[in-house]
Amino acid sequence: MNRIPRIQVDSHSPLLVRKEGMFYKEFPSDFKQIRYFTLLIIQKAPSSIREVNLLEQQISELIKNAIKHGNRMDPQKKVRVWYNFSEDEAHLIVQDEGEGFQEIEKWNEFNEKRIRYFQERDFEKMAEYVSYRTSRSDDLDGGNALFAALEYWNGGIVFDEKRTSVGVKKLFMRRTVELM
Amino acid sequence: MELKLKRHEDIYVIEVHGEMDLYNAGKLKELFQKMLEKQIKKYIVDFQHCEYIDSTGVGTLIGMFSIAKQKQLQFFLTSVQGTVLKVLTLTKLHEYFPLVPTIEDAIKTIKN
Repeated sequence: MNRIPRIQVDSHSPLLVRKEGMFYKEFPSDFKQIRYFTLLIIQKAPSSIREVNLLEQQISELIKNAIKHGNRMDPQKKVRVWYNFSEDEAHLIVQDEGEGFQEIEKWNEFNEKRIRYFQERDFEKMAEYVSYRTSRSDDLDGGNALFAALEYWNGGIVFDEKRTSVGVKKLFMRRTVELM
Repeated sequence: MELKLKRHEDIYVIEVHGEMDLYNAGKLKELFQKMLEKQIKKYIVDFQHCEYIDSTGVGTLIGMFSIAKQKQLQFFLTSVQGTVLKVLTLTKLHEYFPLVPTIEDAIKTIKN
């Protein structure tokens, strides 16, 4: 059975503490501008790693989580983003001013069950785990963003102890062309 | 995002055009609700012209498929490719959802 990745909590993780040389932007908690904010960030990414908008989609989810679930769209609260891209990796840190994602352990357990049922191809059971809901979830919450995120950010997803900052990293395989 | 509705006898095809995201995925849910009220039982949601989907869009599809299963409706997703396929694969829903290559394949499956 393959090891199932988990969201980590570690304030000392290199994904969170190494901000030197990274670009930085801060945004108001404006739900209507999430995709625009994402475009401002992704314009620094080389086209080779944009993968038919998948990087954009994943960054948009991080900003949405910070604005909606972190700051609860409070216009007084900001989202801060540090980011760096190369042809080999994408590294971002997204920080909100909310109460923190306190259900990480619960979410990890939920996700483990989801993946176990998927590995067993038990789709009846998996149906109970395709969407992670909380008492604050609404109709616009898919409840699936972090499932994809944990697969996409193959260099890890790490929250700080306060759980208001998340560091993510994606490592890209370079396409090599053999010359005769 | 634009939704185009086409009909093949009693089978309804909802074509999703453009980007299905947090701002517009609700339109698909509303359309589905209206179709349910009209007792429509056979659905194909086609993604040939859809270039982008996010977690809200995926959540909408989860909700639709869940209702379709409860009500024992015929429900298929077709022409899932590009970002949409990648996102469904990342969420491991590509085997959970009834994905069929083309609209024609889905129609054949429903008729058989």
